[in-house]
Amino acid sequence: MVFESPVALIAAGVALAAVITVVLLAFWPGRYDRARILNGNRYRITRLFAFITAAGAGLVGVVDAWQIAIAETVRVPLRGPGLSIASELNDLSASPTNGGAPLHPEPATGSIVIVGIQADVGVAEFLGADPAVRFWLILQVLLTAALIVTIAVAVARVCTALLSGEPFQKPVTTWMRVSAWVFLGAGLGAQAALAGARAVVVDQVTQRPLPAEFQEPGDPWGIAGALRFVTNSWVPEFNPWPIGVCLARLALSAVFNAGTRLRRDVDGLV
Amino acid sequence: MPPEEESEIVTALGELLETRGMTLVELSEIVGVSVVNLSILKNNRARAIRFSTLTAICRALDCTPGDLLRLDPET
Repeated sequence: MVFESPVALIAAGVALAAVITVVLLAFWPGRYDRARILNGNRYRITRLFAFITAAGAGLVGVVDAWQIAIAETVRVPLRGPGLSIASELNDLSASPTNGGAPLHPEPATGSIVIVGIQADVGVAEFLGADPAVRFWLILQVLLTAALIVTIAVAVARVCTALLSGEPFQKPVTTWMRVSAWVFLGAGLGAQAALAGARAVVVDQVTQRPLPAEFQEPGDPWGIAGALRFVTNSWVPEFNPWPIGVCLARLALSAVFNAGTRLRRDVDGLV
Repeated sequence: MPPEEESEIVTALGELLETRGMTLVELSEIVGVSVVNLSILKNNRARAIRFSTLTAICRALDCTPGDLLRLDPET
């Protein structure tokens, strides 16, 4: 996270301290005879955080998707850059793209134009990115939002069940299972969508000839090297964590399912 | 999970209490089971019974499990 000003940094610190204080106060071990009240408050606070998270993630997802759809410039995060390229490009502080290297200062209408490459942060910036890039990026943003919303709602559902005094309910089991599969699909889907966006970008970059001043060996700023980094960036990154989280949630779902069956067996027992 | 099935077992607790001139509250005090649970058993709303409960009721009413439980003749 990058903070634009000291005020923003202080505000973020205060907000974080407030959240940690509330959590510590709520979850600090209390007297045994007050366990029921304490637990109720904990469930309520957790549910509140879950709802805020779900609402925030949904809102941010929609806003981000809208911005990607209408923005003139689209940023495509690329894979980690080489350090040598980063050091060379960092020297271009006077460039118009805030540290990036201007390749095509005059945008061509109707086609993708590279306005800068920030290899130090692994971001390529494109003016007038075509619909395919926008589609993949929007898909990635929406899948990520769906993933967070589903998990948060599942947590809220468990808290509601705990507050009702009966956590082992069929709807809770169903939510656990659904959220597990959504997590798997959205987690892997978001990675695939980002890889799709990168693939389109790399394809468009490699098809576009570099201006003569940027071609090796007369490349004074290492732009050709940076572009090689860009063209190597299409290789999809596979992060297996959605599979792990999915399996963990399926296991939790099985636990809740067993609990539901036990409750049913005990229900009506004299 | 198998579907919930209606039990065909009914209890004769009401008849046994009546013949022995005992109330549900008195039986509750003897066997140590709440009146609510005994009422559930009496009205055939129980879905399971512990052996310990069955033993205590049979001892209190001087009967056998067969006297207390039977298969519903109407099913």
